[in-house]
Amino acid sequence: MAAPGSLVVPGQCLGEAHELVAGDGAYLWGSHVRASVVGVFHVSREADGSSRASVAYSKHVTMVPSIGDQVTCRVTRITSRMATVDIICIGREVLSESCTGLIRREDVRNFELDKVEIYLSFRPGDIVLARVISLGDARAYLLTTADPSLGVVSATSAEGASMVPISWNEMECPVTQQREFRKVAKPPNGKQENGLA
Amino acid sequence: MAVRHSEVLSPEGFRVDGRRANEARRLRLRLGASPGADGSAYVELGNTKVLATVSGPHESIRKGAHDAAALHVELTTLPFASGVYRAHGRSDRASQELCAAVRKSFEAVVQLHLYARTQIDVAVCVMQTDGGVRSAVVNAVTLALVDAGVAMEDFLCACSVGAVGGVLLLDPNAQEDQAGSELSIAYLPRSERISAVQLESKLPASSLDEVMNVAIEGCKQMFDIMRGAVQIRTQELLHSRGMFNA
Amino acid sequence: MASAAEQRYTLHGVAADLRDDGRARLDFRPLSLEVHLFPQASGSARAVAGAAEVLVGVTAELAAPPADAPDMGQVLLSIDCGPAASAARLPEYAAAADERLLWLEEALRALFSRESIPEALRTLCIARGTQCWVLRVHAQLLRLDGCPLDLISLAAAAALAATRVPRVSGGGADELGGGKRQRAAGGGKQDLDLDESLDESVPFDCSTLPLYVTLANIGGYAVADATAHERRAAGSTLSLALSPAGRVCALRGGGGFGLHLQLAGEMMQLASQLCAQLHADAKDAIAQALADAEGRRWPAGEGTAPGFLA
Repeated sequence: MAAPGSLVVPGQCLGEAHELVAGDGAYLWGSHVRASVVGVFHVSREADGSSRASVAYSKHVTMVPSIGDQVTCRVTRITSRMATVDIICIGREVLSESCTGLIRREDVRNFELDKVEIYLSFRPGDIVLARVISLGDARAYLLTTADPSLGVVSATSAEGASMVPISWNEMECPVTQQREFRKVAKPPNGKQENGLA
Repeated sequence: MAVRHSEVLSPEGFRVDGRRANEARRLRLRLGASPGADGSAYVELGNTKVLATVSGPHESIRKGAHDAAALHVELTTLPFASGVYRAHGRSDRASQELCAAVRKSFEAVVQLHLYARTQIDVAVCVMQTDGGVRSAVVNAVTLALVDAGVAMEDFLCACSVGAVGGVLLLDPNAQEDQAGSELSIAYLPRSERISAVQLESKLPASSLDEVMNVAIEGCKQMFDIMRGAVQIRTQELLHSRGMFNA
Repeated sequence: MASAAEQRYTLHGVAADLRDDGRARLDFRPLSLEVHLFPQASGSARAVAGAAEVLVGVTAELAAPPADAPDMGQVLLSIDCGPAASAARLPEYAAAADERLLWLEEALRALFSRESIPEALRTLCIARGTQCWVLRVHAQLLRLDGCPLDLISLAAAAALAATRVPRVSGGGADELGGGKRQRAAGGGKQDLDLDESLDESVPFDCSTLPLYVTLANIGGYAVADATAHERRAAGSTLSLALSPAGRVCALRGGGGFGLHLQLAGEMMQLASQLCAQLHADAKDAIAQALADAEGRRWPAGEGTAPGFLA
């Protein structure tokens, strides 16, 4: 049995199955919970009273999007039915290699689904905040922007200037004052955060 | 060059390189030998030198079962590895077979279901061969995967045993290899399970038990060294980031 | 992947003679050279410059010399990318993805041809017309970070400097005793005495071996020893193989929108100015590496761990 806060290696026994629940970096084998990565062993108390064993590795481990993650992506292609995007960040972690994602027409917003036009919601090159709803098929993850806080966060106008959001579906170019349609993400209230999130 | 039994073990019990019959060669290793890769390890088992790098998990470009990661192994032997120039170090049958064997062993140990729809690429470069190549490759890949932070059930340690004229030699080098039969195993030390066994040429069935025991002992020796090195290196890494105070 | 802003940053830096890592335009990266890492090969070397790493191994075998040069041995080169076989990681060298390794091999072949190192190749001859040494040099690009030609030629020079070819004397048909007898590999009906003791081995003479210098054209300025990042911002490059005497042995250039004739002329002048310094530095580095390798052997035991274990 390893003491919490100590260094453990893969395969090392962390505790009994009836005392601990296997979290990140740990797995259940027979009646024991064992580590699956090398790192520091932590025990945290869960809301339901159980103790959760997790092992935290120091190196940056390649992340993979899972269901429910908020991701930052760049639009690469649009058709009348969907927008293809390149997922570049998961939460605050930048991916070293981008994955492909797909935003279908019915997942762009959550009202008037039949009136959605992809061309009036996204354009190639836009930076979009979205959430993963499904692992999809072999080609792409399925994403949704059907939430006021999700959608386009950064876009460039036809003249190349960075546009300013006006409302939930319009952005304005500061140079020409021309408005373009996008599905805009609601900027966060209160303290202004740096970066895209 | 054929080596006879009397030459393999001297009357005092020393082998050609001064080892005893049940001594494995010195295992020297370095984690993170290739800084650009996600995980890497360099292993020296006597004169056999192997470098393994791991890239991933990253998005898989091939269509396949996507409820678990795909493990992809490639192995290249450098032309000057054995002292005699040998080209085609990637596409020959022996390399392909070793690749497939390594992949199968690790598919059972790495928790692939945690990385759905991704691919983990393992690339091994064999720089010098002097017997025990299979063991060195398996040990190097284990260490590279641990260095990359890929979740695994256990360490996979490998060792080989040669039987020359009734004498069992742990971790034979190339000369001793050619003199008799060789059994190599891959072993999971914590779970005490054997993952893979390979036997070249003949061995009397009655001595199989003894041979396996000697091999398992050798694997345990490898495991001790590997675990120690992993702990030291991770302590340094964590300490330098303030995440761990020993 | 370099964004437009990063490329602009590099361009501005180069114009001010201050590159991304603080070097001046014509400064080389610090080089770490080690030899004798693989005792089973006849010679081996490992060169690390910045994030680039190259491993070179040399094996010697006996063969018959070609008919048009009966008194010279041969040095044959092969290159591979490893451990992962993606030659696609090699940047554009005006060649398609699967031909980039071939392009590198062709470029480096000129360094070891009969025209560039005739004297050294003559020392490889054993019996005129019937036997000669063939040194097979294999370079493994472990990590790439711009200018592979430079690093490979340097590592190959170090490996060849560390190569010791056994001294061979032609023996009679039935000579017993004296010297080890070994069947010559690959041809030769004559029995030869191969003396494998190191005192009698002949080192390969590398003092006339040419080295490559690659100059990248970044915003009109010539930059030496560019990293991969800088090369992405560079328009075109010019690689010159220069012998210690200052003669140009091979030339490769192109990429981007091409090289303006005047700039090409300037780059060639700069390269020949850098040549003397480059060869002197290389010679020092190789001598140091050989001395370190000797120091590792005596006394027997550890000291600093060599190669990858360091």
